[in-house]
Order: sequence, then C-alpha cells, then structure tokens
Amino acid sequence: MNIEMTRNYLRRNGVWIGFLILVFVMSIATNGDFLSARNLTNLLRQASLNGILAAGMTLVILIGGIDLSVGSVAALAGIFAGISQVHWGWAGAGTSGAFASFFLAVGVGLFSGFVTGALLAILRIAPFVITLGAMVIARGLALIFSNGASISPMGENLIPIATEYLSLTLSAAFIIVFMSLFIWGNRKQLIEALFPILTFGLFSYSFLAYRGFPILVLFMVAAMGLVAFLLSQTSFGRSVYSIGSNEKASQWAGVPVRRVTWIVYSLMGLFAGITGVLLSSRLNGADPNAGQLFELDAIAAVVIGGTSLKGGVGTIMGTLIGTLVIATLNNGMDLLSVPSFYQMVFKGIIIIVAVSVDKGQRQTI
Amino acid sequence: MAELARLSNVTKDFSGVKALDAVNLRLESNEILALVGENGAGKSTLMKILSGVYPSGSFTGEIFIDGKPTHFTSPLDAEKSGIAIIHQELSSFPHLTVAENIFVGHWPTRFGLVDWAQLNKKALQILNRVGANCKPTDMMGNLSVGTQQIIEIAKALSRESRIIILDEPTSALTPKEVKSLFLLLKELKNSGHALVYISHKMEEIYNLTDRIVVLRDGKTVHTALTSELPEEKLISHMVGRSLDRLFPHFPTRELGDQVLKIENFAGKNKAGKHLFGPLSLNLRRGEILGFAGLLGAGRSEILQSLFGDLNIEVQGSLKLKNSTVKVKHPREALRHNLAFVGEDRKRDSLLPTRSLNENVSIARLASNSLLRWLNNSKEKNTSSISLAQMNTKMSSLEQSIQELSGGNQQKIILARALQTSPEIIILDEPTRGVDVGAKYEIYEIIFKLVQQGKSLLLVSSDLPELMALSDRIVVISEGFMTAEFNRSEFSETEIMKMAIKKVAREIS
Repeated sequence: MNIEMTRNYLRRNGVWIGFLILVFVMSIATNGDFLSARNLTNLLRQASLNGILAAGMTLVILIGGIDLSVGSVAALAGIFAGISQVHWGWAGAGTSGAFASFFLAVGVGLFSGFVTGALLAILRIAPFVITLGAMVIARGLALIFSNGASISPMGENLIPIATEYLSLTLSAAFIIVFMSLFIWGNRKQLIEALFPILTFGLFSYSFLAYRGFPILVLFMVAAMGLVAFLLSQTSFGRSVYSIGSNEKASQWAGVPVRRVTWIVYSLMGLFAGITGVLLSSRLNGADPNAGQLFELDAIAAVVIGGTSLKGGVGTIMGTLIGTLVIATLNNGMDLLSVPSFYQMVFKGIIIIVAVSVDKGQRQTI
Repeated sequence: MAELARLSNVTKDFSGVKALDAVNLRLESNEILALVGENGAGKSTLMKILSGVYPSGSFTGEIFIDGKPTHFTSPLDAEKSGIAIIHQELSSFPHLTVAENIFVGHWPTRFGLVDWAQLNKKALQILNRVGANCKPTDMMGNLSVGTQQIIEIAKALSRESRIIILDEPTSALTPKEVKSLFLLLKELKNSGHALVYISHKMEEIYNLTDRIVVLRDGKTVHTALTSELPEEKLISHMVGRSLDRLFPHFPTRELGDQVLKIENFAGKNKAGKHLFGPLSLNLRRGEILGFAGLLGAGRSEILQSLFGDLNIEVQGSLKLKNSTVKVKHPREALRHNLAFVGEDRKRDSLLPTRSLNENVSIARLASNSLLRWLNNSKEKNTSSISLAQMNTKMSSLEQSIQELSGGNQQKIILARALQTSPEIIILDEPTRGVDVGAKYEIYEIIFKLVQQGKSLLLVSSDLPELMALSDRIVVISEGFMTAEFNRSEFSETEIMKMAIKKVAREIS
C-alpha cells in the first residue's frame, strides 16, 4: 500500500521530477555554471514572457479553446508602446509617459482579445480558425503602423520594468510573504506542494544572492497568481473548468458560456499586451516581427504542465512547471552552445516526450 | 441447442475492487439469454471480456468457444470467433452510407480497390435478410435510430457472427421499431444464433428471452428459465432484497395555486423548423404533470424551451405565478426558480472531468455572479449534505463522477438541480439508464419534493412509470397536445392511442 502511494505520488509529480533531473543534468554538463545565482535569475527572466502568455493560455485551453494570435498581438501592442514613446514623444514625459505607454499597449492587447472573444461568441466558429485569422491580422497591423521597421529607443522610464530588480530588502520581504502565503494555502497537504516549494526556494536563493527579485518575474508571478486565484477561488474559475468539461451541460447548469468565453479571450489579449510592452522594453525597441512562435511556446508550456487540449483538466502549477521546463531547455542549451537550429529539434522532441510520458502515467493511475 | 461459448470462473478486479467474482456463463445456440442486474453489477465488464475489449490475461478464468479454450488479445479476435456486440450508444458512422457501415473494415475489393458494385449488392442481400427498410446507398445519419440499430445487426451478420450481444438496444426506439427488432431477433434465434440481451425493461425481457442470468455485485446470483421466474422474484434477486412494489405510495395532497401557465406556446428551431405547439398548459403548486408521447414528439423541446434553450425560438406567453416572463437563457430560468435535468445524462448534465463536488455545486455557483468568492469548506459541506440526502454511494467528494454507476450519477445531477432551491423542477427521462433500486429511490425523492410544495414537469418514455408518478398527463403527438388525462382516467391504451394520433397541421 505504501509503495503504491509513493508510486502514485511520484507519478503525479512526474513533470516536477523531470524538471529536477533536467536541472541536475544541465548543472553537471555546464560544470555548475547553470546553477549560478546569475544564471538562474536570468533563466527566470527569460521564462517570464512565456509564463505570462502561458497563464492566459491556461484559461483558453481549459475552456477547450486555443489562441494562436498571442505572439502577433504582443508585437502589435509593443509597436503601440514604441510609437507612443518615440513618435508621439511620450518618452520625454517621464514616469507618467511611461505609464501611459504601458497602459496604451495593454489596452491594445485587451482590445484585440475583446474582439476575438466577441467574434467567437457571436460567430461560433472554431477558435483555431478565428485566432489564426487574428494572428495574421495583428501581424499585418503591426507592420502597417510601424511601416515595417522597428521603433527605438524606448524612454528611460519605461525600460526598467523589464530590466530592473527590487532592492534586496524588498525582495526578501516579498519572498517571505509569498512563501508564507503559498505554504499556508497548501497547509493541508504540504507534501503535495513539496516540489514547488523546493523550486521556489532555489530561485529565491538565487535572486537574493544575485541582484534581487527581477521586476520582469514579478509580472509573471502576478499573471499566474491572478489566474490561479480565479481558477480556485471564484465561480468564474468553476465555470471555466465546467465549460471545458462539457459545454452543453454547463449551459444547462446556468453557466454564461459566451460571457465566460469572451472574458477568457479578453484576459488572454490583456496578457499578450503586457508581454508586448515588456518585450519592447527589454529589447529597448519595438519590432513588428517580434513575438513569432510565442503562441507555440505558451501552448507547449500549458500542455507539458498536464492541461488537456480538450479542456476541463489542468492547473496553473502545471503551467508554471511547463514554463520552467521550456526555459531550462533554452537556457541550458545556450550555455552548452548548442547551435540554435539544433535547439529547435531538441525542444520539439522534449515536448513530445514530456506530454506522451505524462499521458501514459495518467492512464495507468 | 448446442453450447457456443462458455465463460468459466471469470474474475476481474479493478485496483482491488472486484467487478466480477468467479462468474460462470453459458451461451447456447437457438436461445436468447437475458443478462440482468443493477448498474454496476458487472454486466458491461462481463460482456467486455467476452468481446475481447479486456484481453486475455487482464482477468482470471477461461473462455471456451465451441468447447475449446480460447484467448482473445483484442476485439478483433472475438469478432473472428463469431462474437459481435451492439452497444447502447450506436457506434455507426453517420456520414457513410449504409453499405459502407455494414462492411466497414471488410470492404470487398478488386485489384486492391473497393469494389463498390459488389459492396452494394452484398449489402442489399443482408438488408433484405434483416428486413431493414432502407437502401444500401442511404446515408446512415439520415435513418431513424431503430433502422440504424437493425443495420448494426446486419453488420454483425455480414461477419458471420454466431453470438450477438445487445446492450439495451431499445432505449431510443419507438414501439413500432421495437416490434420489428424483436421479430428479427427471434428469427436469428431460430436460425441458430445465440443472443445475449441486456436490458432493464421487464416487459422486453419477458417478451423476448428464454433464460435469465442475474448478476449482482459481480456474482451470478440466479439463473432460471424466463417462464419459470416471476417478475417480483427477478427484481428481488437483482436488488438483493424484496421490493414489494415497483413504485412508492402515491402521496395524497392538496394541490395549491397555479404556478406556471403557458398560452399559445410554440417553438421552432433556428432553421425555422416547427418543433411544437401552439399549446396551452398550466401547472399547480405540488403537482406532477407528465408528458407522454413518442420519441421525437416534441416533449423534450417543450421542456427545454421553458428552461431557456438557446436553439429554440418561442412564441406565446409564459406566466410564472402571476407575472409574465421571458426566459432566454438557462440562467434566467434558474433565477425564476426553475430547475432542469436533461434527457441525456452524458450530453446534458455530466462534467466528466470534474469531481463529484464540482458536479453538484456548479449550478448554484454559476447561476450567481461570476466574481463570487468560493468558500471551499462550506461548499463541501453543502455538497455532502445534498448527496447524503440522495443516499448516493460514493467514496469521496473528490472522486471523478465517471466512476459512479448511472443511478448514482443521476442522483448527483438531481442534487445539483435541487441546490438552486427551485419551485418548479423539469425532469426529462429522470430514470433512463438507471437500475431498479435507484429508480425506486428517485421516485421517493420526486414524491418528497411535491410534498414540500414543489411542482414537477416530467417526461418519461416508460409509460407505467409516468402513470405511477403523475397527477395529470398531457399527450404530445407531432408537437401538438392531443389529450389530457387526470389520474383517475389513466389508461395505457388510451394514452398510446393519443400518442400515435396524426395531427392535422393547424399552422404551416
């Protein structure tokens, strides 16, 4: 009985264990460079943009949908941040100019998601088709508004949101509050949260040993935290799971299916907008061709995390570990100077292996 | 009579739970065997073993075909040994023709290509043999469920199956279709086939079968010739206790004021096709109003449109208590204190990937504001209480709803509907696919509800059940109301007569 329970426990945490193995292998292969505080901090910063998109994508996939437009929408939002900063001169308007650009870009993302969601709710066409269309339209608009060229430089008040760190004291305070909340939230089954706690501990240590908590990572924590809260603590979250499980039954049970669908895609757009402005801040310029294939990394993170593409099953913790797996692969292969063409091949293989192993485990439980 | 197949000492367990426990079963030619038992008794598991779905090695015990021990590693092996299974939910391909459906996977070929002429010719021969009322080139999806059922049998015959297993084949058939199905089954029996008939319907078992095997908790508890086993005894073997009645005592009560009234109520679908009405009805507090009619008569559509079905456009007026309302979405219906349990549990009710707890609470939570905070521990308490009241058999609230039997699933769905504290409850086929014991419990729940002053609109294709439960029955035929009977006037033949009555279209 005890062996059985242990085995089930390990199966449930298969992706986390896979992640730890990956970390171990990378550390050995890089003579410990991988585990340095600086590298782990960078790894999480690299993971953040995908993590924000994946948080929204979790909701989208949970209701049985898909959103292929997020990369293009991020680019479009970034272009608006760039235009407002450079052409409209908001870069010269200090902090308020930075805020205005930020919210303009986020608003563009939200609006895109709002329109996509409305089309889905009204036309009842498969989300794959609508968002494929939206993907091409948003990319086209980004190229039109930018005249096909990148826009730079961004104002010095906007750039810090993607490059700065919280001070060490503030970082420590934030980490303590976050960890206490997380542990308290899981107090009834702490053993189930063991792997996440270990992972959080590892990254917290690196932040404190390096330059503090990256602001970029804060955005990811906020996005995932918001989605986690919605999913577990509100009737909106229940409706999301319910729609993905059986849309018709949800309708009969009084779930406002269209409204929830609409909100989910709007949130996805909002997250894509945030990603866009963060991306252009990090690169110090808005590129109309940015964000290509972002949607695929986001979908991969969600699926590696165990969310069913049919909808109705999945958690944000799964998406987090999926995001970390992808980021670790990218980062580790960079450290090992694997040529980028080969990286793509490896990443594809890992995605297929991870999902098929996870699926096999689930069926045997 | 000759023995075609025998299962000996078959035991199958699912992670420690014994689904079958040393079961023995003998199938003989020229015989229709009834396999009966409550949901969860092990019928499906047994048939899955016989048809190779659970391969040899995943269970203990032996299968003998024509006296020889046989091991199936896949359903294909079983098919080759002459065993065919026809599932409750048809597994046909609606977008292929009848001939293609019959020969799927076994297409006659010429030079490696499908020989269409041969395909249709062979199909026609088999269709004639089973007396199916269709052409080989008809699209499967355009045929009635009854005809599709018969084509499934034709498919089995095309593979020279000698043993045909039918799992509740009549649940979606009209009485006429049932009749022709039975004729066919009897003919097959006389031509030397062995048939296994799985059903909850007593009438069918006694009309059709020769021998009965009763399964309970994975064991064969009784075997007898059908002619020698009276119905009450059969039921007591099935449930393991004696049920002196099929139905609880009908509660006498005073009916209250009118709570619902519809006038000139008519509905059509989005494509403009007439579905029902115009018709006028009323419902009083504490009353059970039954809807009788054939499948497809429009009964379900009437109830669905009362509950705000998005695909039905309605005309006419709906009055709840004394105010006229429009119900455009199930959410609005819930706010007007209506509740609804749909006819097809899998399609209309179950959230298969979610826990019992979430399945129970979804209507109460979702019909409120979306941003409402959940109180998880309070929610679980509420769910536990609801399910305990329903006497649901379960191991934990976190269990997946798919692990429960049909009867227990139905209780969960009823509990979900009641959590919104409705005044008027719409139940469409509430006992479909539910075993005898759970049926009785559902009847008790229904009677308890009306004694508390709730009112019910009820559809059931099981006429004796409908007559036992209703205060009043309206009969629907082709979307129109053809008759109304008070409880004292109930008569099966009169109701059936009105149910098949042709209605002159009053409006086009």
